[in-house]
Amino acid sequence: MSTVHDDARGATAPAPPPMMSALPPRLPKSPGLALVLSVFPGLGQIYNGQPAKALTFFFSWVGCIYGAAEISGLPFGLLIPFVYFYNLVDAYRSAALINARALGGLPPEEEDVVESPAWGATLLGLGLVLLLNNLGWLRLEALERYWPAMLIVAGGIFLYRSVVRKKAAEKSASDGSDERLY
Amino acid sequence: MNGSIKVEGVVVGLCLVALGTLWLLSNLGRLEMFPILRTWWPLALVVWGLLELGAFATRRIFESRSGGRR
Repeated sequence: MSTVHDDARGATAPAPPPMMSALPPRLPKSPGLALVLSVFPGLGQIYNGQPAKALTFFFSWVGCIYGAAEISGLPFGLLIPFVYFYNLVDAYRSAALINARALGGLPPEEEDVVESPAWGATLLGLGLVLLLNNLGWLRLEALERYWPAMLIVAGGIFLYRSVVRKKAAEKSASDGSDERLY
Repeated sequence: MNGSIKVEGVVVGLCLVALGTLWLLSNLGRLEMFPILRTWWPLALVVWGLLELGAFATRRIFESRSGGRR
């Protein structure tokens, strides 16, 4: 291609006009591709550049299948399609959101700053428990009957977060922005 | 944060390196990959949690030194 270009240098043929004006600006992500990739849960999120979300979806999906097979069919089997389709919808919507941000229609995403050590501690604790179980120092099978406690914990988290968010909103409304909590 | 390392990226990279090493060694007949993976996969969660905690700690130290930006 470059030799053709060099040969044509002497001629007065104008360079082909850039197609920028005709085409819309190139978007960073394709929502359709994200959707198709998420047929395998998590893959679309990886394409969107959200690895933490991808892992969460993948492990939720695997966990639901495991729960349906090993613990109890009723809630876990029912959860599989929920997780699966939420994963598809999330991949599509996240890609569309990234595109909207790239076009400047929306404010840029707030950087995912770790505000508390809870996320890291949760991962660490979960990993340690599962590892000890695999090594035979714990017997998690004995806890299978207690799985509904997860629902209670999830409900508690939702309640706590809604209360905290309301308090934070009230606080930021009442005083200045340079409030430090510690 | 400007210029901070993404923890998730490090975790994915480490997982791929570990998986590749195990798979390579098992292809060379040095060890059995799947029993090792079945036992030790939660180690990835442990490392990830430690890295998140480390990122949190360094960020907090950095912020308290620079005097409360944000």
